Amino acid sequence: MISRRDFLTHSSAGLGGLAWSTLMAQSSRGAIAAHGPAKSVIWLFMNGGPSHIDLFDPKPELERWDGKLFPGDVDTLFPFPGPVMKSPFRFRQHGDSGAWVSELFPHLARHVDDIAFIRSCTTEAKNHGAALYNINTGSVLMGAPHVGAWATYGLGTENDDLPGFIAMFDHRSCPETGVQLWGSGFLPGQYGGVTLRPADPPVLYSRRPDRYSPAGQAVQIDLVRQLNDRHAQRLPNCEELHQRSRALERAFRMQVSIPELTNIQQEDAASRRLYGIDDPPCRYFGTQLLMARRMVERGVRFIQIYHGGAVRNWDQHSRLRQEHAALSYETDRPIAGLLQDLKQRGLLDSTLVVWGGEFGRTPTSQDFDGRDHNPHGFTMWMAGGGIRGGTAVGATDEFGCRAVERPVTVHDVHATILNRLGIDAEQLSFRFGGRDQTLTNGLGKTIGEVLS
Amino acid sequence: MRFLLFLTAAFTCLGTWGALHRYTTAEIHRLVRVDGEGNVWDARERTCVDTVSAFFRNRDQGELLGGQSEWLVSPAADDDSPRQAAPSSGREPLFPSDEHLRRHMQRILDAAAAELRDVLQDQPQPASTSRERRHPVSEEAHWAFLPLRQVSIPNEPFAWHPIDRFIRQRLKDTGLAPNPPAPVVTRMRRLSYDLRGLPPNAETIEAWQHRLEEGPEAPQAWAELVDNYLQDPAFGEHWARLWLDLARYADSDGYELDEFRPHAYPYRDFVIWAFNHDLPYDRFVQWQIAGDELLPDFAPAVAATGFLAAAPHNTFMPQPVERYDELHDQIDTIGQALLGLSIGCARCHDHFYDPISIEDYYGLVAVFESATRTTRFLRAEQSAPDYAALAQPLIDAEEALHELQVARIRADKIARLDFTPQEKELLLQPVDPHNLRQQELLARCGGCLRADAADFEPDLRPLPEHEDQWAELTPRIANLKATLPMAPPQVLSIQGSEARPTTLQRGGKLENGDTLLGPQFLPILLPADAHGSGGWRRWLPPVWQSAASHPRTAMAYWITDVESGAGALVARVIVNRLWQQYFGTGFVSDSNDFGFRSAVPSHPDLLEWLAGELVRSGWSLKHLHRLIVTSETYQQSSRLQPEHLVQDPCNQWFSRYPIKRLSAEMYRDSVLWVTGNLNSEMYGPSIFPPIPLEAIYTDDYELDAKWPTDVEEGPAVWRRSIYIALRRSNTVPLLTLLDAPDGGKCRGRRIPTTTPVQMLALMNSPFLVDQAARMAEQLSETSLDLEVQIQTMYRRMFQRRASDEELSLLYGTIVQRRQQEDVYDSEVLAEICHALMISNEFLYID
Repeated sequence: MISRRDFLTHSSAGLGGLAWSTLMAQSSRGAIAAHGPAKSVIWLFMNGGPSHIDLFDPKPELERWDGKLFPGDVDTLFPFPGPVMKSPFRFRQHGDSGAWVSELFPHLARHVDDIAFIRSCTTEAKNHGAALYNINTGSVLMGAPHVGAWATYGLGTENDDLPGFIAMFDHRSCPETGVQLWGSGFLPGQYGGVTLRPADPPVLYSRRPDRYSPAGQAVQIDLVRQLNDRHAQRLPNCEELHQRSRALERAFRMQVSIPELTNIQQEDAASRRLYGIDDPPCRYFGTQLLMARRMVERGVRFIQIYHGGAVRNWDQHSRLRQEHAALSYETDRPIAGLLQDLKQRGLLDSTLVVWGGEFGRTPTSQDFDGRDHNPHGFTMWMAGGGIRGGTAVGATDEFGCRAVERPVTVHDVHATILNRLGIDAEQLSFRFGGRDQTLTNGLGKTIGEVLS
Repeated sequence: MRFLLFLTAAFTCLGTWGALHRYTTAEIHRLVRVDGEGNVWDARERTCVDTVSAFFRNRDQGELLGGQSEWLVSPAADDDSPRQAAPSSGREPLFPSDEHLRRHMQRILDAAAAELRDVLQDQPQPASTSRERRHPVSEEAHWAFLPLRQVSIPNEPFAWHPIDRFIRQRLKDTGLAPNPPAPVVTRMRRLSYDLRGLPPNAETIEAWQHRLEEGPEAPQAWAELVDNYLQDPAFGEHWARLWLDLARYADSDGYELDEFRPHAYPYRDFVIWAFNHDLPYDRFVQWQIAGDELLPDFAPAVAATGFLAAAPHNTFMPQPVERYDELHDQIDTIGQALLGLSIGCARCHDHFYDPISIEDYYGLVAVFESATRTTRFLRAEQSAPDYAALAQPLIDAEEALHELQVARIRADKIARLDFTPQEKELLLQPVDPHNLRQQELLARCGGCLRADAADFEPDLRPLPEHEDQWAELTPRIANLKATLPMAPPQVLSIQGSEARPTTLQRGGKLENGDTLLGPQFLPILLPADAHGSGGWRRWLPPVWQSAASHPRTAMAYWITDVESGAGALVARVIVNRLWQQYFGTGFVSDSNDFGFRSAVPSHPDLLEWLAGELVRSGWSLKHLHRLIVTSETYQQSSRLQPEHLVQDPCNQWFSRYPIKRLSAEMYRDSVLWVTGNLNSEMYGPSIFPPIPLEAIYTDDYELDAKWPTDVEEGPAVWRRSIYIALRRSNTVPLLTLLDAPDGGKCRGRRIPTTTPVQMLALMNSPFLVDQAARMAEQLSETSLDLEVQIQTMYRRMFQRRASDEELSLLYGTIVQRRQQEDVYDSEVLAEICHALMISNEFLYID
């Protein structure tokens, strides 16, 4: 029977194969310094389109116009926009930086001096499907790789026993585009995000079949290894065959390392409290964020966590007051806890935390107490790894309708994320469809103002 | 203000279906309905998805929500009817069962095969135009854009096969000698996998092995075996996959709603059929662009236009720009799949590297500007009547009855409201978006105009003023149903033949659209006198010349025109693809890019010669397959010598046969094949094998599962993987992990990956565990002798006997397991079976 030590000694990070080495030769991972301040990224994705003007971008002008027709053109998804609606929430300035945060984020507000707000984000699509693709892949069309896949393609993973890119989605449901959203697109499959759920099994197929005993499966895997060794002797010099044997060993180890990763019982009560895990509304998201911190500790490169999915999300065409309050409550304490936890463990400087959705919302109302999609101006924020806290970039107009000052595109956001990882997004390319594809395709500029 | 309705409906209403199955054809027919107030209701009457203006805007584009047909029938009262209701009981002629459709499809395609020869003759052809060569051939012209070059077969002493002569001539330069032939069984396994995607069965090996051993008869026997495999229907089922990857084929729309496409499958069946019947490749291409125009009564030609309709497509509040996103996808796919050119790069600006301008791009957009999605009934024979016309009276009657039912439901709902009579009266009036009072009532009344599935109770009675009409309609519907034949399969296809100009959109932005451009083909592949507007018309058959319509037909003929169109390039591109499938590497390494940036082909002469052979053979793909697999280059051993790693590490000189991992589909199919469980039924609606519950996601609004949660393993789903539904937002994880594409973009090659997560799937997939257990059970039933069991396993999986050493290894495993814990031998056998299935010998061909 094969021992655990045997597996460990056979470990290797080797990926790739002769079959596509020609293709790789045309693609470029050159010129990657990989000495960025950030080693990992945690992207907190608020699916549905959180309302910037109700969370981080207060607009006093809305008070004046509340209930009146919008004085100008507003680009909405649905026809017949309703009158202007003021924010039902109160805003206050916080921290030394005096950043405005609505009353919905009391805990997060304590961290504004670590945060750089980007108040002038824009995206190219106003439907969820296309906008989700746009902000995650740079393209409104299906089939392009996720920014996390690019990061993993550029930098590889630091932990052989865990995937380099992990995505977690809301307990209520996955985003409507499905898990392909964090797939590898046209990049080789190993760079795609692996879906992890705080459940059993955490990763698809990571649970031993009921039919097999632990001893039985160990013997079985050992048998495969011996068969593979014999096969490789008959077909010598083929690197790919060895890689597959190693991948099998890594897989066998992952059956242990993944449950270990997700076992938050090891965490003390203070940590659980910090993330709000004992508070039912915060439990799931808090657990995910705590796991994200454990992933960062274990060298996972890119982590994306979706709050909200197809079923319940930040897409408040109606009932904005109740729903935004509830969704904010679910996330406020866990996010504040994550920032604090990372900081006290000395991980915040090497972990880039990104917050945002696929678009913002309109100043005009819908169904009396909702807002429509707004791709022309919304807020995202970044904190940690190489980000200058206590800053704010850009501005929307007096209604929060359009980015008017220093508009930022999804490509700029992507360039900034890769930049903090030490990658020049334009230098990291992959030949597909007759082009040297890059994440930003020549359109992204790092947002210099947010860099520390 | 109608969006108020939408909001109440879409965001608060929950599904009544509970756990969703898949959409059946019947359900899909109910998918879209316009109610009396101009609201469009989705599926089962639950959700009002759009306003009427958007609906008609879509319809004008030929794109109803979900790409479904325009007519809709039958109230949703029978929601709980079994999915595969027997056609005879409760006869629903418009909603045949999946099995009925599958058989029907088989009949249609069998009949089409019999008619094929005549049909090829009948297809309208362009008047023969002048045969001047394309654009002036200059020194600097890019090789791929030139006419086919005449090449002579090199004179190589020890090679008789033309391919080997070309290959050896180049191989000499590397100092490498070709590998010796692979052992016979290795070659048979290779051939069977390469041609059919399945391992050879033991009987074939026994019957052929000795004939294929060295000897004067061996080449003849090999050729016979090749022909046998080329005749096997499994050939088309295997090779169609290559094309479906290119066509980014899927069974759903993608994007936000990702509606299922129940009528996409006839396109997949067309591709299988075309490859099996060796439909000439030029026709294969022509039909995919304009089959509906060229042969409107011939089912495969119409189904072929599913190529264009396969594009991902947003159906939720479609934005005007998304129409151009879709056209972009179609043009980009045509460019890459057929021409090996990244034409899509010129959407925003002139191509950076290739001589393709933004004007050229929009000239192609104009070809497809009027072409939109539609769902058509396929004709069983060319002479069969149009089923849509036959069904129209029934559809009309059911629609009429439906309106009466909705009127009743609404009246009841409004009557129950705690509103004043005046308010109720206002609600009964036609919806007026400008009547704020009415809008407010609508917002307050809790979807009182909505008719949900559950509202269509069987004992629904008409309103007093509708009694006569109702009494007349009910028996009429029953009567029409009884006499209407069962509906044939429908296909999601393309319609629209108008030559409509488009706007040139600089930066790819719709709002920048200014100059109007008519259809035009790529100038780099046009003769000088066909440049400019109207030049495209020279490829029109005479009958359409005067009307100046049918730009797609003209394009179909231009693209396959070897003399003065893109035909030479099209031939080179497909030749390269086939070669790449066999050898892992093409002559041109990026099979989707023959533009300026592609490297010089490794074997330019062989590429030219094979492309010429394709054209000379009447575009017979089977001829190419035969040529390739009868070469010694193909039959040589895969042995990687140390000098290979130095001189030919990427095998671009084809110094050996590559060691290749099975594709996702080949792998799953082979597992089913070796366990004896593969169901070889062909064609028909896509299947939904069970996948782990945690890999099934819920869709928006409906809260329904995107994949059936209650299917079981069994022959119905043990069919070849090409028949598995590809739902863009919920793919089959085992296939995805083994690098099957997601239907997002045109894929010219799959990059085989080796990841731990993939190996986890192989170790723990319930499908594999189950198949291994079934195989072990069979083996235990047929023999008690452990050695016999193991040898049977080896023969089926590896087409060889286990060596003594292997036998003792396996015996040792069994003994170890017996000592470890209390297990049945059959359980250990299942574990071993599974181990063999995930071992490299099973996963790789060499």
